[in-house]
Amino acid sequence: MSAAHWVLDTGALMGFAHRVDAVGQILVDLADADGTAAVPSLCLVEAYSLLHHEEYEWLRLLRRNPAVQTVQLAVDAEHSDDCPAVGGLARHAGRLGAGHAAFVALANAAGVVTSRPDQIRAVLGDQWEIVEV
Amino acid sequence: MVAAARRPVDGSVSGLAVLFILDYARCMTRRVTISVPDDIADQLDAIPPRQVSAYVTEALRRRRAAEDLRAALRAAGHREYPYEPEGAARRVAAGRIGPEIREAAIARVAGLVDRSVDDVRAELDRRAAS
Repeated sequence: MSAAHWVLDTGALMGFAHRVDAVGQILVDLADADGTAAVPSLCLVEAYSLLHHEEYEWLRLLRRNPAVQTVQLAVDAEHSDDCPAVGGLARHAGRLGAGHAAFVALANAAGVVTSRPDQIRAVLGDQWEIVEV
Repeated sequence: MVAAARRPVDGSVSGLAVLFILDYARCMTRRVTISVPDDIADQLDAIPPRQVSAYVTEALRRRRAAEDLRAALRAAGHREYPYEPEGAARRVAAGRIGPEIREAAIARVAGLVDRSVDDVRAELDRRAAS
């Protein structure tokens, strides 16, 4: 899998379900330009926790698309463990999903689509490409 | 005239005007004969014959993914988005972070979590490769 072009933070997933135009445009751009978006699994869980259950279907439709890749948290304590790094970033970002989004963005050298740019910038700095939605 | 403007695609060494569309998901293939405009046929002629089927399959899968995504957006109540590949490519490229900005962010993160820059970079690179 090639590196993701954008990381969808919790607010971007909410934006998809709530018809935020900037989120729709980014997703269409990715599909038309053969790009991919990464969805950190913690952001996905956060989005579900904030949506009404009747809105869950929209996220399922989004997740089924090959342009959208859900990124799991690696939890193998011996060989591949994202938990300390993501936890450490979340401590400074102020939210678990923001910590995971920042980690995935750093790994992929990808911009972040978020409703909380302050949290992402607290970790990645002011130069990082962010689309606020 | 449409018929004159189109010609069969030669997807094999023997000159058969066929394409083998591979259905990897089902581990099955079907032989499909198609006609395409000259400019597209020229594009396919430039591809090694054994790679034509994979090339066309990949292009069709991308197209299907784009259509599925638009369908998901419509279902969620979004407006219709026009197909504009050049603008899309430009905007998608804007999301890619340059190496200098990434290095600055890694240094910042290393400071925040009290680890060495090399250690943080190695972990991120390992994760990116996995």
